[in-house]
Amino acid sequence: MILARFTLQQSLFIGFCACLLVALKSMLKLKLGISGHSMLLMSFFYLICYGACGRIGSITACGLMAGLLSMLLGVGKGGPLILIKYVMPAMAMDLTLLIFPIALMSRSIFILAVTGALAWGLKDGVFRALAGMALDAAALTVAISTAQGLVFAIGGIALAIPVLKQLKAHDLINDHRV
Amino acid sequence: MRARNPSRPSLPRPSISPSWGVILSLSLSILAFMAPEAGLVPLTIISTGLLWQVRSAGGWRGLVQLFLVQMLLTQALYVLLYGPQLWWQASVIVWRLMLALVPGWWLAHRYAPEQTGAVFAKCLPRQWAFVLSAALSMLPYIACEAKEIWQIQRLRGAKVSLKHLRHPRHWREFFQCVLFPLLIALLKLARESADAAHCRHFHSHHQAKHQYWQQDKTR
Repeated sequence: MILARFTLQQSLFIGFCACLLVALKSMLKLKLGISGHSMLLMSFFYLICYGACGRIGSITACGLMAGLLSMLLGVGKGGPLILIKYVMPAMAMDLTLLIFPIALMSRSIFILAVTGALAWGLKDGVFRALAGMALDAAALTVAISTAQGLVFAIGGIALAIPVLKQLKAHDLINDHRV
Repeated sequence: MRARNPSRPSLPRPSISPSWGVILSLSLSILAFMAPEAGLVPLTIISTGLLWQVRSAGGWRGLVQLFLVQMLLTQALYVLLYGPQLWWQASVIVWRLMLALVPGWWLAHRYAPEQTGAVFAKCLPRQWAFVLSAALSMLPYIACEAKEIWQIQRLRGAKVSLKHLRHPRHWREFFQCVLFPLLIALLKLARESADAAHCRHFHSHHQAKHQYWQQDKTR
């Protein structure tokens, strides 16, 4: 199992990152009136987890922990739905990394933003289609949420890279990929 | 954190155990999507009952706000695509989405996070059950640390107040001078906790998973 390969320190760091993600999300509440702004903090922390652990699977682990924590604490509104909201983009990002081996500091890392946002948008559309929305209307919501999520995901990744560089410069993470 | 508000202890003891609560909320959420239209009436009655149980929890405004926003967006989409005659179908969709949300909201407000966490820990590998319980118990500390660093950076003159953060121009500063030190603190915390756990024979000892959660209850 993917989750079993982490050392205790790595998994604790992932857990604490998820914790900080949930705490910040409830503290900040960027009231921009646009859905998709959670992709900013999400993609930032996902990339930090990947950078710090250097292993595929760390993003899914972080997403799972963040989803479980916000489900337990009632941050946001939806029980099982919120778990999917965190886990879907995380799994998409991990899957991308599994298929294309991407160097963390290269420009192609932004492909993670695309796949993450796509998963984010798909989740919205799938729920609406399940609730009985006509498929073309659901496809339109997918397009809208993907576009919104994409803007924030690109922002999150762009903000994570300098922070990762700084962490590396201070020798706080030692991974050959960074 | 809203979930740790002082109104929780005043709730009566839960009549169903947390495991059944999780199963109930999961199945109600699934039913909200799958049930035929006529089945939505009993589901609405059950959901109202659940909401009534946690009426003292607060946070109603968010739920109502979400409902109104979703309703407005969906209706607008349907009017744009199909004209106004399908308003009923659009309302049913929004209603289903809301019915799917309510059980999760109830679960989070009805049971203490540690209680529900113990249920999820049963499905996780041992190490991750420990991580979940550690993250949950460290949450107040991490939130406190975040607030402290945030305040200190504001005193230093960094433009990271909530008002500044409305503008994306200041986000970079927020990530550089609030999140970067916070991440260092987390790396340190993770190393210390891992060392502490190893010193207590975390890996060699056959400790049952639920023990981490029992310790939480004594607090």
